[in-house]
Amino acid sequence: MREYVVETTNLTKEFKSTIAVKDVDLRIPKGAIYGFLGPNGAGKTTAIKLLLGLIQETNGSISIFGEDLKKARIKILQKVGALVEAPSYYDHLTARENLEILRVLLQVPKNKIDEVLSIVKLEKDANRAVKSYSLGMKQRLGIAAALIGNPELLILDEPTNGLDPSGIIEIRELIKTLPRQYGITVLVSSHLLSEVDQMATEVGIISKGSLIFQDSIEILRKKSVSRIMIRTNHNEFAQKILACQDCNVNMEGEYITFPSNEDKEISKIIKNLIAKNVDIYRVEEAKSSLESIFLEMTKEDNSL
Amino acid sequence: MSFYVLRAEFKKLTMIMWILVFLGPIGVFTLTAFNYYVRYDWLRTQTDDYWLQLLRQLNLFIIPALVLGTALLASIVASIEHKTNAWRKLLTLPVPRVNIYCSKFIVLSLLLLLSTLLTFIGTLLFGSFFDWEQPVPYGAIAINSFYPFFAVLPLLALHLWFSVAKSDQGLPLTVGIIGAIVSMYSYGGPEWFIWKWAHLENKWEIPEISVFLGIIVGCTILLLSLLHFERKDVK
Repeated sequence: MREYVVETTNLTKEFKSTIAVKDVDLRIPKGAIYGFLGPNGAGKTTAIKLLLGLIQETNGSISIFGEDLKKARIKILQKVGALVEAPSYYDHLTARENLEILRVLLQVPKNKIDEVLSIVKLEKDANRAVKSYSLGMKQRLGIAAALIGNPELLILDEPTNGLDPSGIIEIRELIKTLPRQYGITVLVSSHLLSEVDQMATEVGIISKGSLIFQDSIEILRKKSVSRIMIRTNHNEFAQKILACQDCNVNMEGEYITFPSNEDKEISKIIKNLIAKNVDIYRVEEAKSSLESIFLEMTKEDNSL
Repeated sequence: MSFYVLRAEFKKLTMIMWILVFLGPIGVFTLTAFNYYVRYDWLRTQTDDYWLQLLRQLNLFIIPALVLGTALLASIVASIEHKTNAWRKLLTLPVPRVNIYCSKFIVLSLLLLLSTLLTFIGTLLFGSFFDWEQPVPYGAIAINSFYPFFAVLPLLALHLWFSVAKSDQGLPLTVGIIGAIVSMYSYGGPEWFIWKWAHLENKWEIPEISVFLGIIVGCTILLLSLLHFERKDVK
């Protein structure tokens, strides 16, 4: 059985008129990079705030490091670093002064400040007031602030928001190294599947407050099987022929489709069709991307 | 109460807060200096006890300044966190919410206390500037300088609560300004009216009662606001 760092049961949060999070059972394995995916407004941030005890759940329970969040909040938070939505900072202070406040509150040694500043590459600008920072720099300061307390669980809510492409790559590479080098478990939320796809080992997809998928990224990738599409002069006849051959045949508009197979199998099928005097106009391979699977899963959310 | 939480809180203070702490007493003595410059001869004819008269004249400005200063400082302390919603980071740290809130209250108390200390020193300096040839009433000056601080504790607790609860500071500041104006004319008002307590005036004619009430009611309001803060959802 796998060891879970975060386990929630029937986690529910109702606001006055809406249910933001509904019966969510998160399972985040130790050492994983858990990609928490969902369209904007699906309930990602609400779920993360619940995990951090920033808001009170309406129903359900949260267990982190095997302890109940309600009972052992302070003990749990000692091992958690977080960046929730936009980074929070005191803009009249410098990056170093901001980190110093956190350092004092977390009671960690002074050299941690330089360590986290170098991790996010802010050493040069550390003594400038944060109000003069670009959005990307503030975001990096936010990540430094999340790392300063030596967390075992890092919770990052949309950490690459507002970063330029090279910044996104840097942060992604940084996140990837954390479990390997320090044994940190990472929960990273995003509304972009491509981003999660490049770093996550586990994926949870949330839509309209409900968790609609949760498993390893491989399982999600398997859903993106490609299929062969054929258009002929006599589709119905061709379909009958293929059905006899035990193919999983479907009709999609003008096309007959069946799951992709080895090259030899495909050529056998085509030969067979030609032998039965069917004219073949098109043979295509269609691959449904993770992106389209994601859109398919969260479709209802996007329709206006 | 852990000392390190207080230390972290002090590191957040803005320049404007320190300026306010000094500007309050400076303003009070500037206005009083003007008052004495304009009508010193007339003031002399009104009394035999020049020190007591000075305290009365000073109180015209000290009380509204203290009430306004309380509201402004509480609002700024809360704004520091509201501005970039730093609550979200602060409250995910392994520090009990109670400690965070109390440290803010203590920081504000210390700042106000510093202002009252400056008022005490200022009063001595101001009075010794004249050749009144009367003994300096240290006790009365201390009472006049420090007692009002305890009497405004309910206002401090109320304003901190209000400013923390509302991310928009418009209303808390408006209440603070109106409170300062009302406090000027509240002498002789009903006993429950906390804006008048800084006058140290009550029907029992014992200033210590105003101090005592200030501490008791201040702590009660602080306790209620803590209960609210402890369960509050963070935006």
